[in-house]
Amino acid sequence: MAVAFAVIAASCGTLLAQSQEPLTPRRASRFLAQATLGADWEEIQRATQLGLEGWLDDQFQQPIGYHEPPLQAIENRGVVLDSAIRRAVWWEQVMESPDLLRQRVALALSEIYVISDNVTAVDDNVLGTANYYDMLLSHSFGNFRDLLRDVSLHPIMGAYLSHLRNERSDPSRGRFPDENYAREVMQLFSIGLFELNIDGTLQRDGNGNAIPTYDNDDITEFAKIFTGLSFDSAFPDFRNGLPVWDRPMEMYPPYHEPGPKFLLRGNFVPASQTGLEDVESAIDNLFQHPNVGPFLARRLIQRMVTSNPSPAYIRRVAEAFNNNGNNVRGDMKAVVRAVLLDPEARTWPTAAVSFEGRLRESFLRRVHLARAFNAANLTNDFPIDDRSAPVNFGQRPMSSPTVFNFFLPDHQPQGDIGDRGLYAPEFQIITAVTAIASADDLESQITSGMNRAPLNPLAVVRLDLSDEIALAPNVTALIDRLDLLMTYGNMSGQMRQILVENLSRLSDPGERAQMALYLISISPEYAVIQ
Amino acid sequence: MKDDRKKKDAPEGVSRRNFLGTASCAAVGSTALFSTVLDLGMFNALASTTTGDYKALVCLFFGGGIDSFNLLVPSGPAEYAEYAQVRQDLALPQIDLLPIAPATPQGRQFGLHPNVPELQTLFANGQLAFLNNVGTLVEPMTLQQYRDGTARRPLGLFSHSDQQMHWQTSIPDRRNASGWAGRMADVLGSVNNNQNISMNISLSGQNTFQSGNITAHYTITENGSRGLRGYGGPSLTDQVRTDSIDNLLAMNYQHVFEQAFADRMRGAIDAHLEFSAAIAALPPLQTVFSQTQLSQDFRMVAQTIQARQSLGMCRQTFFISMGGWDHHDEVLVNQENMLPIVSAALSEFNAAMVELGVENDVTTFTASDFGRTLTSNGRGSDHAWGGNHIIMGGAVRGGDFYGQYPNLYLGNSLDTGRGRLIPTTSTDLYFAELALWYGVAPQDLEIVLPNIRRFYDPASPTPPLGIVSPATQSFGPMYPRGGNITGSSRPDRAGPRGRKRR
Repeated sequence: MAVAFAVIAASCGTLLAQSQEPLTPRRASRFLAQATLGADWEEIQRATQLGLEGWLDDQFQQPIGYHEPPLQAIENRGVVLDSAIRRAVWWEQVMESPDLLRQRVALALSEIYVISDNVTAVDDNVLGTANYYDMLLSHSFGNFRDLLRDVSLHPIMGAYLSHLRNERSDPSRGRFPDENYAREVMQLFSIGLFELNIDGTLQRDGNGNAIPTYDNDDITEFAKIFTGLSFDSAFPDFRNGLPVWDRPMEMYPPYHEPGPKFLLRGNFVPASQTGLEDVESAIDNLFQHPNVGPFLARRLIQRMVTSNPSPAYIRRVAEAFNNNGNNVRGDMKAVVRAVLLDPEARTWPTAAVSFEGRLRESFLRRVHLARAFNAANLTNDFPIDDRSAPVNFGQRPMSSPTVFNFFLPDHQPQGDIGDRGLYAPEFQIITAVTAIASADDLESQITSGMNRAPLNPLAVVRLDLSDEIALAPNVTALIDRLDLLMTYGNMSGQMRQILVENLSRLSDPGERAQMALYLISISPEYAVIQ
Repeated sequence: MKDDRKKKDAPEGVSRRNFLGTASCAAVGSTALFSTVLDLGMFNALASTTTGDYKALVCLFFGGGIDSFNLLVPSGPAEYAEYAQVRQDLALPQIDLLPIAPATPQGRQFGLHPNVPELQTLFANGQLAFLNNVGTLVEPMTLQQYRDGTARRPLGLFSHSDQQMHWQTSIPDRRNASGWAGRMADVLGSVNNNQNISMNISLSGQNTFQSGNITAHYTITENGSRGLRGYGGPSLTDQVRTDSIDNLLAMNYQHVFEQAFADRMRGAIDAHLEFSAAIAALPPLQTVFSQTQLSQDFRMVAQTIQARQSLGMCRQTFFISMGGWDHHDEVLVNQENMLPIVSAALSEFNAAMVELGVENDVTTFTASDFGRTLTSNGRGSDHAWGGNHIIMGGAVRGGDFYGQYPNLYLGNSLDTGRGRLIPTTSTDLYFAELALWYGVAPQDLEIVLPNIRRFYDPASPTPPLGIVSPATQSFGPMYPRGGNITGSSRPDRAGPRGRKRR
C-alpha cells in the first residue's frame, strides 16, 4: 500500500501545475465524470469555457431541483402516487434540473445516509421519501451538522432505523430503548468504528491495536437520547398520531428517557435538558468528534473521485471540513470543492500500471448514457422503467438492500486488486449475473429505449443519437466523438483500433452508431473513471 | 495503513492447495488409480460415467439477525413462564406453539413457532436438528471474563456488518479474513473435474462465506446463469458484437480495475455457456416449489445438484441469503409472515433431494448475524449474540437438540444485559462439524477454521458436535501433498484460461 501511494505522491508535484493548465474539452469531460451524473456535449463545452472554478461557482448558485414539489403536483392532479412515480420524478430532476453538482452530491449522500424503499414504510410513503432526498439536496452545500441533525430527525429515517416511536425504558416490564439508530448514527453516519488520524489512518494503542470509538454501553446511552420522537401530527399523539412524513419528528417528553446520559469522550447531558436538547447535544458531540472529517472525506472521495485516496488527499479534505478558511467547521461546499479540486483528483491518468480512480457505479452507467445523449420522449416526462435495475445492476437509488449501502467502503475484490491491498467498493455488486444483465440493460437502453412498451408509444424515452448517426459514415469521427463523451478522450489506441475494424463491417449508420455506443458502454476502459 | 492488507493471506496458512489434478469423484480415495492416471482427458471420460461420491453444503443465511428464541420456544409450564416473563410483549402464546419431542430434551419441553408446521414434521421424521445458542466466539468465554476482559470478545460485537462477516469467516478476532467455505474450496476445490465453474455457487450475489484466498464463488439467479444477449448469434450484427467483445476482453489492461472488470465479464460469459447447457439438459424436477424467491432459489440449487455429473462436481457449496430479519420493530407480525416461507422452502428442498436420491449427500444449515435480545424495546428486539439454528438433511441425526438451550431469565449466567446471551457453542464447532462431514481432513481443519483448537482438538476421535453422521471418507490422507496450484477459480470467471498476470 505504501508503495502504491508513492506513485501518486511522486506525480502530484507536476500535476499540481497541470491542474492549472487551460481546461481542454477532454479534461472538462473527465472533471464532469466526477462532478456530475453525466454530461452531454454542450455541458463539456460550457465547462471548458468556464474553467473548473468558474463551473463550480456557477453550480453553487444554481437553484435546487427539489423532488417533492413535482411529486406533490402529480398527486394534486388526482394521481395515486407510488414508488415508480417517485423514481420517474427522480429521473426528471436528474435529467433536467441545472444543479448538476448538487444532484451528484445528494446521490452520494444517499449512499451514506441510507434509507431504502425495500422497507415498506419507506416504499409506501412516497412524498416523505422524496422529502428525505430533498433534505439531502438542501444540505449538500450546507453544513454537515444540519445534515446530521435533519437525517436523525427525519421520520423516514425514523421508520427505516426504527427510532420513530422509540419509547423510554420501562424496567418494570423489562423494556429498553431501541438501539438501532444509536448504533448506526455512529458507525455509518459520523465517526465509524475506530479512532482515526486526520489522514484517515487508524490510531493505534500501545499494543498496535485499533482503538474503538465507542462500546455497547455508549450505544445504550445514545439509545436513550433517541427516545420520545414521533410524528409532528396536528393532533399530537406519540403512539397513534397521524403520520406526517415530510416534517421532522417531534419530541414527546413523557416518552423520552429521563435523567442524565453519557455521551462520547467524557461528555454527558444533564437531567435538566429537554428531549430535543438531548438530541442537539448528541449531534454536537458527534459533529465535534475529530473522526468526522476523515470519515466523510474518504466516503465522498470514493463516491466521486477514487477508491483509494492517499492519506494526504484525505487529510486535505478533512482539513477543509474542519475549517473552511473562515473558521467554520462542516462547510459542505468547502468539502466538495476540496474533493474535486485536489491535485490527486485532477491528476491526468498515467499510462503505467495503475489503480487511480474508481469503477463507475453500476447503475450510474445507465444514468450517464441518459444524460450524455439527452434521453427524452414526446410526452416530456420520464416514465423510465427501473423495475429490473436491482437485479440487472445490483443497484437503484434508495433501494439498497441494507443500511450498509450497495457496497462497502472497504470492499477488496479477490485477485489482483485485493492482492495489492486496494479497495474497490463498486466491484462488490459486479457478479456473473450483473456483469451480463447490466450489459443487456444498456443494450436495450441504446436500441429500444428506457421503458419497455409503455401504454402511450410517445412516452418511450430514447437516447438522441442523431449527431452520432450523422458522423457514423466516418467511423473514426464517430469514435472520436464517443471517446470525448464516454471515455473523456482517453481511449487507448488498441481499443480504438478494435472498434474501427469491427464497426466498419456494419454499413447502416444507425446500427453502427448504436453498436459503437453499446461496445464502449460495456468496455473495461469506460467502466473505470481513472 | 501500512501493509495492513498484506497480512490477509498469511496467518490462515493457505499458501498451498491440495492437489488432486482432475480426478473424477469415483477416483477420490483410490490411491492406485490416482498414482497411475493423471491425464485430464482420461479423467474427464471417467467423470461422465461416474455416480461416485458427492456432497453439498447449503447455507441459508438469515440477514439482519433472526429472533430465533421465537422460532424454538420453551413450552413446559415452568420454562414457558420464564420465557414469557423475559419476552413480555414479544412472547408467543403458549397454546399456539407446535410441540416437538427432541431425543434429549434437557429436562424441558419445547415448541416451534406456530407458522412452521413443515419444520415440525421434518424434526419429527429425524431429518432436522437444532443447534442452540450458537454464536461467534474468539475463545471460550464466561460472563465474568466478558466483564473483566480476560477473554477476548469478537470484534464489533452486536454490529450487523461485523457479525455477518464473522459468521461467514468464523474468525471473529479479525476483520479481513476470507470465508470458511472459500477456504474449504481452497483446500478441496481441485477434486472437482470442472475448474471453469467454482465449487462455490451463490444465489445471492457476492458474499464472504464463499470467498477464499484463491477461490471465489460463481453467481447465478433462481433462473440459472445469465448469458449476454446476442453473443454468439448468427447475424452480422451479432458477429460484430461477439468479435468486438472477444477482442476488447482479450486486451492486456494496464489499469488493475480495468483488467479485473474484463476478467469478470469474460468469466461470466464463458461460465454461462457451460452452466446453461448442463441445466438445459436436465429432466424436470417432480417436486413442486412455491413461488417465493426463497423457494425458487432452493429450486435452482436442486437443479444444479441434479446437474452435478454433467457439471463435473464432486463437492459444492451453495449460499442463499434471505434478508429482512432485523426486527427492531414488529417482530411478531414479520416473523408470522416470513417463517412460513422458510418452512415451506426447506421442506420442498428436502423433498427434491429425496427425489434425486441425494438426501444423504446434501446438508442444509442456517446462519445469521446474531440472535436478538430476549427483552423487548416495546415493539421488537435488538441486536444480541447467541441464537438457535437449523441443520437439515439425510445425514443429520435429526429430531434432536445440539449445544445447550440456555436459561432465559434476565441476569442468568450467560446474560450480558437485556438478554444478550454469550454463546455456549462457537461457530467454529458448528462449522467444524460440517467441514469434516464435507470431506476436509482433520489435519486440514485448521486451515479452514484457524481458531478451531481453542474449542476442539482436530485429532479427536469424537466429532465436534455429532450432528451429522461421520463422513464416509475425507480427502486429506488420500492424495499427495505439495502439488502446484492449478485452476484457481477467479471471481466469477472461467478458470485456468489466460488471466495474464503482469
